[in-house]
Amino acid sequence: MGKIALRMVNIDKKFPGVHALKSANLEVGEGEVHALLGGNGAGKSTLIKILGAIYQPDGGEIYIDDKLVKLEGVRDAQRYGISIIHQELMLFPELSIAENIFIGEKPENYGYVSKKDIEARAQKILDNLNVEFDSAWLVSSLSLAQQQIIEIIRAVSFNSKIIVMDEPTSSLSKNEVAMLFDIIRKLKKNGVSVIYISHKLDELFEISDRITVLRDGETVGTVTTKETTEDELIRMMVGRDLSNFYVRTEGKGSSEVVLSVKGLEKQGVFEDISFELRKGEILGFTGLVGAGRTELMEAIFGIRSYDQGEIFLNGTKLDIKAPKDAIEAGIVLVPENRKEHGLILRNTVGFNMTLTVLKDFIRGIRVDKGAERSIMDEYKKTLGIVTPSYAQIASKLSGGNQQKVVLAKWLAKKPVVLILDEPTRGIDVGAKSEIYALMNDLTKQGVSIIMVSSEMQEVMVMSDRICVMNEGTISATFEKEDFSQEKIVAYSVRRN
Amino acid sequence: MKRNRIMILAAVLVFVLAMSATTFAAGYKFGFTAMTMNNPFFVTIEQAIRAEVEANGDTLITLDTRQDMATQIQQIEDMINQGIDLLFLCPVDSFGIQPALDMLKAAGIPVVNFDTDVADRDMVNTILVSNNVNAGYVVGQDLVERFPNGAKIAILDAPYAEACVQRVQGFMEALGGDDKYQIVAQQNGKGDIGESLPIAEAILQANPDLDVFFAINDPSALGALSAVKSAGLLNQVTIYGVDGAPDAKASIKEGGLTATGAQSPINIGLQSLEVAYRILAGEEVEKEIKVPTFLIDASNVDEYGTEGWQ
Amino acid sequence: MATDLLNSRKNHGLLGFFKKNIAIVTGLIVLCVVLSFASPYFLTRHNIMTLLRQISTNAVLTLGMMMCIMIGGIDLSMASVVALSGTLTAVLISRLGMSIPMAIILGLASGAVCGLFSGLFIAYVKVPAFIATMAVMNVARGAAYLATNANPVRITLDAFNNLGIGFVAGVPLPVIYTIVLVILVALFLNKTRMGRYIYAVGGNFEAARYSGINVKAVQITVHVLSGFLAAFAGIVLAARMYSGQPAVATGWELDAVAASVLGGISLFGGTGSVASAMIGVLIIGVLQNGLNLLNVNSFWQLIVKGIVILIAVSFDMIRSRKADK
Repeated sequence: MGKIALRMVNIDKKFPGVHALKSANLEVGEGEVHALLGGNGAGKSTLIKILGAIYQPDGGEIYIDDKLVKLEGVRDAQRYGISIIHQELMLFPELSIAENIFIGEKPENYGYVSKKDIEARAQKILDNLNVEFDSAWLVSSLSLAQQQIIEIIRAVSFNSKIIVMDEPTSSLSKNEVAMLFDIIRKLKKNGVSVIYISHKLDELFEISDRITVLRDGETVGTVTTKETTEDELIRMMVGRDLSNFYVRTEGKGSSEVVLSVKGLEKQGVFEDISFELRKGEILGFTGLVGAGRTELMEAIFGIRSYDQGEIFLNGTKLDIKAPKDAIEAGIVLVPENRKEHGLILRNTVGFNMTLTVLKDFIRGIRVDKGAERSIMDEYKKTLGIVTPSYAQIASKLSGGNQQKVVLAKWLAKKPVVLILDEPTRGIDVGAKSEIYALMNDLTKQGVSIIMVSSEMQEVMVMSDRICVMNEGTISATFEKEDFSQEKIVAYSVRRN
Repeated sequence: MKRNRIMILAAVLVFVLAMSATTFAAGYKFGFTAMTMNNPFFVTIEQAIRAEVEANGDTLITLDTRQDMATQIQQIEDMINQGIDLLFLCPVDSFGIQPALDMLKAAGIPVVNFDTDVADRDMVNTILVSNNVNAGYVVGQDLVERFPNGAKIAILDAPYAEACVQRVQGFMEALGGDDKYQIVAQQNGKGDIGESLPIAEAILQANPDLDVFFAINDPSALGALSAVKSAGLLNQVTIYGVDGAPDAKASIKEGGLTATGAQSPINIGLQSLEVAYRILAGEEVEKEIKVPTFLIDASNVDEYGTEGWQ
Repeated sequence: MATDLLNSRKNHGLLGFFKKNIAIVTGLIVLCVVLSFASPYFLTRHNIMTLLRQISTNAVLTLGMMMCIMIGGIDLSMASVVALSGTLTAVLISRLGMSIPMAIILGLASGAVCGLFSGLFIAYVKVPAFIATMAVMNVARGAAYLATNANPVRITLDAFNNLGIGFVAGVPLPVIYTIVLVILVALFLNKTRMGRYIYAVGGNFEAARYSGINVKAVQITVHVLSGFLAAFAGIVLAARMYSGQPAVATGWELDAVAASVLGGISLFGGTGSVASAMIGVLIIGVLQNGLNLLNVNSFWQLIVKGIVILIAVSFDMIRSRKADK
């Protein structure tokens, strides 16, 4: 190993309610491709945002070329030669490659920019990296991968010494990945360090020199790629013990199948999805962010369309074209994004609670206030919603209470199948355990639950069975007795 | 924040009061309403009347209808409620003004109708109009003189205004129904420079051999002039307007417009006011007063000047 | 209003309404008091009836506009639909000799069709409401000119014209129609399922969709109603003018927007009540009438109106920014 280009030591970062980074360490050599690996919420993106000076750390030190630095703003990070390439590209499609590369440059010459001049300069950089583009091409004429390359070249043009790539291959084809790797190898030869974030283990083995694994905001360790194995990496990503705070009190349900999905496919999103949901069971769906879990559930609920496949409820084939069809059949979805999809935040708690059951108390222009009230009272009690009144604006409630309002809206509909997408995201521990208790109760009453969750503890403890999703397919299904964190993580990250 | 809003509303009110500068003078209170106050023609009439009215210690209330019939009716209602003694009226539409005339009659307010006459002439005391037929006629005569062998003509009209219809009628009379004068296009230029420009451009596209534009007023003619200029056809196309507006006269002097069938808003204003005082004095007045019209072209434009209306 | 409905203890009835809308109610009262001192004509019975009749058109337009704004859109075609329905009814009666009820029904239908058109494009093609209704604005205005050859069409049947100029117990008929429509729309918004769906779609389009609400049906319904209300206003206006005027009402849609915004209908959608929107209509109407009575120069009137609208919108922006915090 040659010179050390970057050292991040004991980085600490707290957000309200979350301790995102506890003691994260990262060391990257000059001309090294260094991979950063970790599960959902391990702290990878927080660490990178601190490096890019988007967040300020609460503790720890950053050394660049062995000099202690303080990165106070995005400009500082740029000055030290740090470039971050985000998953969403930030290019101007209607400008040429050359114009995109030099867009941030301060104009000299009274703002006059000579096209020829910048095109020549851009061409030089392109040639240098053996990229066979003409710098006068419009970015909109390039493929996504080619655009990504332009984004990288832009970073090189700033004389970046450290380039961070956040999931750069998530939308690329095999050939395009190869092209990207060629560029990375050339950068490496020029002494540029690359920090490469990805879940895809096979890619890490192909391109990286070393791998640092993060878990729960801490650096678990750094290994040399050549000397490690997939199994070792997975062991590092998985935590050891689970707390027994949550309990699945009910049994695993009956053997009676309620919902059955056969060969569901949406091109480019998910394919060949088949599973069964039994009466009174909790079926966990886990996998990495972007594995297609939410999209699958939204297709079953009728928010998204699917290309082929069949959905059966109690043996009857359903033709689901819109949420209305799913709801009428008894399938409801508590969405992942509470504020955007779950609630009318600007309206009242009562309005939100009864939105799905207006038919039960409004006929024509007659509103049966008594019936309305009793529905609201019933679910306020069942769910333990804490609100000063039903006229309270929903946005003023805590996250946990907001989630209970969304649940109330759907429980009032008396569902057969309840799909919960990340049911406890962003809510406090108390509300969490209340929601788990409710799930136990509901399954006891015969409701079947699909729980999509990225939280390992939640999935392991609350599910009766677990489906693991990976790149749009179900890569494995586990019975309760076979649950193992290692296996779940392995099926989440391995390419099939 | 609520208190702020109240404060601001109060401030607006004070502002409004300051602007209004209401005077409750003892003399006569006249109302003035024309189809639009964006046209200097009506502004000139209003100013001619206002100067005299204020010199006599009386009051003139003017509201802008912005070419909207319903707005004009509402404003007349407001004027009636304000207790005007007489209304100077140029209707947005000759028929549509009827409900307002009914209300004025019910309130016993005499009406001096000017420029564009109302359809139900019994409802007004007198009608002062420029001789619109003649204004079109003198233009037509000039055209016949300049193009004895015939011409291809495009007309920019405004068919909802009676005065404009009469101008076209006079114009056609002067042409004498001769086949050699071909009307190749006739479209609604809305009497507006901005509206007329693109229409004139389209007409020129369709008729590259056009000889003459006849527009029912000067703004519309100036719109046609812009179109002709940008098509580079100024030497080929002769453009006529009607009104005799200052900028049209300036254009005639510079060799843009060829001629305009001029009316005299100052005379319309002064004659309207004179007849108004006679009505208020209880005198019988003529039902219709024709204010003369005449041709202004390069030969006589200096007589009338280009600074204001004649 | 949805808030009022659900909270049976606080804020109920008239008192609650005044509490919630203290600023605009006070504004209106201050405006009236100042005007009655400034102009001896303002408080006359005749002027008040005139005023009410004058605002009746904007009130009806505002009912439609507020619903469009509540679902996060706008209806720029309203004023053109006023012209179209008025001229169409006039043509059917005067030129084609159709019976008055039939002509009115077809006139109303023309507005509903215009609304359906905008609604379909907004719901299915996802054209922004601003653009869709602007397109219909041009189509409707063009159709009004075509139907009449750009000439006003006179109506000589007193039976029709009396619908616009008549009185019942000293109250102008247009005022009575407006009161009836205001009550109907208020009932619709507060007492029906569709009414609540409108609040839901406006409050959060995606959440409404995730709740199984047929959001397309809501968008189309609102625009059809808006077109229908505009057509109603157009027919009454035609009766008041004894004629169908193709050039009438230009820019009136903006008065309806102004009244809605003054009346606390948030441009962000999802909130507002008929009653407060009507206060907005009254403020605009009283301001206009007052400025006329005070003989304020027409050009200054435009400036005053612009400033009032700007202030109202600014408050909406500030209010919603505070609510988001």
